[in-house]
Amino acid sequence: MTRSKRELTLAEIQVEEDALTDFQFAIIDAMNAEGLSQTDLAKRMGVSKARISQLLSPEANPTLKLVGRALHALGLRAQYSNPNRALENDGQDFWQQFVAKIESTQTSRASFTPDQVSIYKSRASVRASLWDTRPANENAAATVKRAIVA
Amino acid sequence: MRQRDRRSEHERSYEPRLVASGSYADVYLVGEALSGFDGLALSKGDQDAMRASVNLPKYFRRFAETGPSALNDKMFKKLMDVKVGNGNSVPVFEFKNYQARIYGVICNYKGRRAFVGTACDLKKKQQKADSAVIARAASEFGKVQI
Repeated sequence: MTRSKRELTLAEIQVEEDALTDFQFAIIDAMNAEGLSQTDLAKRMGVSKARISQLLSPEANPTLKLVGRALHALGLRAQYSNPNRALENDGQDFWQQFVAKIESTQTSRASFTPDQVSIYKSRASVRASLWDTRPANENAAATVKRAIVA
Repeated sequence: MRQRDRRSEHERSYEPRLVASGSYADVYLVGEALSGFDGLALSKGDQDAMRASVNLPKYFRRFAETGPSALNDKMFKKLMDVKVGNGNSVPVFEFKNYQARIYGVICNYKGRRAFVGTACDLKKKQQKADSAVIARAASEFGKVQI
């Protein structure tokens, strides 16, 4: 069977290294906060000090299970998120800010600079359906719609 | 009226470049440390160099924000004090990632605590730092206008 293997792209290297350094920095910060040495962490995890040293080295490629144990030993937990979803939430926040601004000033597009409209529009219109998901703000939504879509 | 820059061309080219700034310190690179660091990102096909080009800036930012305690000794450490004449010596430190090492001195630069990287070794094979490069880091530091 032919195995297809290619060089990693810089973006792939970046995410690999981010995964490792985010983990290592979290461990270092937690150890510093508790005043723990590598020996102390090794004892907590039931591994050798050399294994902790290796875990925190730039060339490390620890197993997920060892990562889980290290996090657990320091009371940490890994969380995964979808960056696109985060952008969506960000868009909702901006939309809410925009609605609040419209409501508080009873204003229209004329009160905003083109740049402000552009920023709010790009962030707030991440989801077109957002316009109809806030029944309580129906009037404001309609105003916003007129203000930035018109 | 615009003031004339009286420094020589060599002195101007030896102006350290700020690569990270934070509440703890600034990080500057100059000379071979700067050109070596810039070259890492261009090392297509050399994965270790590409990885170092991704990671070293993170180390710089963390050092600048929090200080050396935010990094372990496989990322940043003091190497030795190097005599530079007049009975003075400067402590040489290194940032390291994969085979790349950036050597420099912690000092007060432009009114702030700073790491000024002055030498580098990008293809380091042994674990131990090369004493000739460490000495060069200290002597190159003498060219930096503090």
